[in-house]
Amino acid sequence: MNTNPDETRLAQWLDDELTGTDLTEMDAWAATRPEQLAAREDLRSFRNMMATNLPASQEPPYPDFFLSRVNQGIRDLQAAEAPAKTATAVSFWRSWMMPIAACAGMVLAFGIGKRSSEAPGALTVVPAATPVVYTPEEGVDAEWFASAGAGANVIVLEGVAAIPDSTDFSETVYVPTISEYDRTATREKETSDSAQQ
Amino acid sequence: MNEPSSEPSYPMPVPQDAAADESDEDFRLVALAQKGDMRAYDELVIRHRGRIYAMIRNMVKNDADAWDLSQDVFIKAWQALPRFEARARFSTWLFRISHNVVYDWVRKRKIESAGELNDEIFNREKIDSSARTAPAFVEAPDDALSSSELREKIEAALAKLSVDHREAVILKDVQGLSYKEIADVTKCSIGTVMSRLFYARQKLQTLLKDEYESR
Repeated sequence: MNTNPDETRLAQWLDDELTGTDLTEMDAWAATRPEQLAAREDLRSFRNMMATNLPASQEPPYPDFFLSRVNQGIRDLQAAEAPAKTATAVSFWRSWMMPIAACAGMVLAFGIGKRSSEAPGALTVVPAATPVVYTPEEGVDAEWFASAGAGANVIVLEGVAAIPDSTDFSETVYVPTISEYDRTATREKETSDSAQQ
Repeated sequence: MNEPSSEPSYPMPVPQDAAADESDEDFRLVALAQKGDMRAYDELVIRHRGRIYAMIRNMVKNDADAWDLSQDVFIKAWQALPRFEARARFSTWLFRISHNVVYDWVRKRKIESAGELNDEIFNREKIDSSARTAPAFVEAPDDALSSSELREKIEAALAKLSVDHREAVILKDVQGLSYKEIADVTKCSIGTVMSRLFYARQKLQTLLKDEYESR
């Protein structure tokens, strides 16, 4: 190698980065240049001092906890990304489907309106429906009578078996106590008791 | 003068064959992790956390911050994993993410400490040597004791470099990356890497003159 190497190649040679023919050529070039050989040794000495005193690899403290923290960070990241994807789907719905749905709704409303305006004759008045009384037991007929004048509603049941006298209605019907029926009753009772004392 | 050997005497990072095997294994694990295999990703974290933590610790000079930032690197790497193409070594790619994480941290700290007292102004190197009021400097006994460790001296000297210069030296002289890889990691040209390394080494050699010459 007769010509001087460029700056990059010289730096790579000084830093021991060259291999193969590149290295052979540079070594041949530097063989007659003691200042370059000395500079390389100087640099090697410096790198040696750095490499032996500062570790290239050092396990972080609590390595298992370190790994679990990384895993937790990734899970948090995935959890944060999931609602974002849902939001994207919603925004897609909002941006594209909602206008289409609104247009379809308008067309439908217009069509119904047009059909009702074309309907012949005036609107018919539907009479008030008579209440239907349903009975849970087969063979029982029920009739409902209402008297506005008397202010009474009467339901007549036919076909219901006779109710025996032994039936205790208090077991089938909830009867509120006085205090439940009238919340002031207890206080009045207490007041009357204290007055008696 | 002794005939200098062609073989370097300092510990080389890893032999090329071993490095190639390690890269192959990394690529295999990356392919699995890209399909969502968390065990493969755990394996990648275990394989590389030591180098990433060491690099970041040397950059930020604080164990707790280095611990947190290293985790950020692996979480960000997981996030970016679908975009990883095997054009560079996985470790170089991780160093690049580390570079971004550390620089973001430095930027944030600069913003947070804006207006606070900058203790760098008290560095003796920044005081004009001809100043009549230059304070006398006597090393405290405790400091003298602790600075007996060469590692601490090197770390203290590294702390006096700019972030760019410190990173160049750490990636080259501690992590053993090539100029091309450092350029990829730091997103600058090889010329810039060479320049940063030259000035950083020069300053470190000056700061560590006593230790350096006694070797």
